[in-house]
Amino acid sequence: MIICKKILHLSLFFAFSVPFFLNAQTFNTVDLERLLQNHPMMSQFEQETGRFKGTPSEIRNIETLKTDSASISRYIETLNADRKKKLQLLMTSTDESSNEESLWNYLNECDQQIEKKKLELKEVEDLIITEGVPGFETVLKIVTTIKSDIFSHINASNTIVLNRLPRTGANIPPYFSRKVLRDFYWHKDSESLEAYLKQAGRIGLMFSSIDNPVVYNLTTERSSEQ
Amino acid sequence: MKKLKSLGKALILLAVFLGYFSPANGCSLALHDWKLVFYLKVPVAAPFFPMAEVSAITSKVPEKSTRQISWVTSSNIFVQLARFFLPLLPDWPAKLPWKVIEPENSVLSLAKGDSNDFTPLVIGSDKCFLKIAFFSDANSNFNCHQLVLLQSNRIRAVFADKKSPWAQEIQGQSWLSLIFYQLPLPGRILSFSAFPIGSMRQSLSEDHSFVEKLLAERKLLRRPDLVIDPYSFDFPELPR
Repeated sequence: MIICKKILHLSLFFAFSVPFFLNAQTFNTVDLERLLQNHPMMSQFEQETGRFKGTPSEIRNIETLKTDSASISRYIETLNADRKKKLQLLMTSTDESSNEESLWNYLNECDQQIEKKKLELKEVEDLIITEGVPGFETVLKIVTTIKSDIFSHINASNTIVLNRLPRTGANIPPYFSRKVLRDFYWHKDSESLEAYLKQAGRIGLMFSSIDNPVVYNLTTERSSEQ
Repeated sequence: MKKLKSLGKALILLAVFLGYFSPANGCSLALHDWKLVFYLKVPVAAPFFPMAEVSAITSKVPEKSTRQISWVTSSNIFVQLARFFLPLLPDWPAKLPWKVIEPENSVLSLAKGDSNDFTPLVIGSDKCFLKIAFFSDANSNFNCHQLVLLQSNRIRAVFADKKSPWAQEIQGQSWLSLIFYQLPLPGRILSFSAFPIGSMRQSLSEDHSFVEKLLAERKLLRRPDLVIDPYSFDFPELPR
């Protein structure tokens, strides 16, 4: 009977205490800046441009892009000409022994290659339009990967993370300096402010340290003019 | 003959049924979250309607370059009916006569051997499948549904022009989509659309006021102004 009671007490102890231990949370602080700097991708990060070297986010030389565009266009033309020539020969030939399946395979491969090259050409032409600066989404893709890598490392255990924001000493990338962000500083009106706010995701890149909030007072200059 | 008559009657009924809805301008007000409820893939002998074939020709062959299209496919009642309804499509190849040829010879040999006084255009359809899918919208508490009839097939086409011949193999795909609220009854159908017509998805009928009513009653989720996705009105990709 006593043994039974002991077993019951032991069972009750486990029934109440085990879930408590399992749900217990540890509070930790993490230096995100250090983790970020230790990430392999950060060795490719260029402070001046805010881009990653050797990735699609890298700012490309406009002359190289123009050369690439011409060479891809020539390659597409060659593929099309070869394809047409082969078909012309086939249409005029009286030889029935040729393997039709191999022709369809050739045409499919050729079409796939042309499609692939056309996509490449479009990418290059888009870059020429933006003067060699790839869209901001190319940077975001890499940043998202870095972020998920860091967070997967942090969240390995059941913890709550209190972080401190990383510092990024990036200057204003040249692409943005010609856009609305700079206009906003020149013309302090509400329209520019709205345009500026639409770029909220990019604001961080403008300041040497994004953990220092910047408050812009629209009325200051007007009130001083008055 | 009797079968043809009853099919004709069914088609007239379908036309009347669809004609109940007055076409309206693009209705893209609701935001759907389609969940696949039912899916069936069945092999079929031939495409029910050569919409993908018409679209393939339109995009590659110049207009007025041929006077007849030779369609290599297994002939059945649907193929014959399709030929009858083809002129309803706006694309130029649909206005030409379509000669159905049984697939005894290859598309290429038929194109080469054609001895007409005009450049032959031969198009073959094989490996045909009909996919039937039924979706329910999670955003409407599974009250809004979409029925999709999708036909997929391999298309091999040859335009035997001596100066600029064209031959291509593509995976043809065409579909009909019916979106309705609770039951597919007249007055409860939100939209009826088809792809490809003029190489695009075309809305054949939309009941704009019914959609507005459901949105006002919060039975459908209103699409936020910021969500601009031209493909979001369609359905998720079907399993292979």
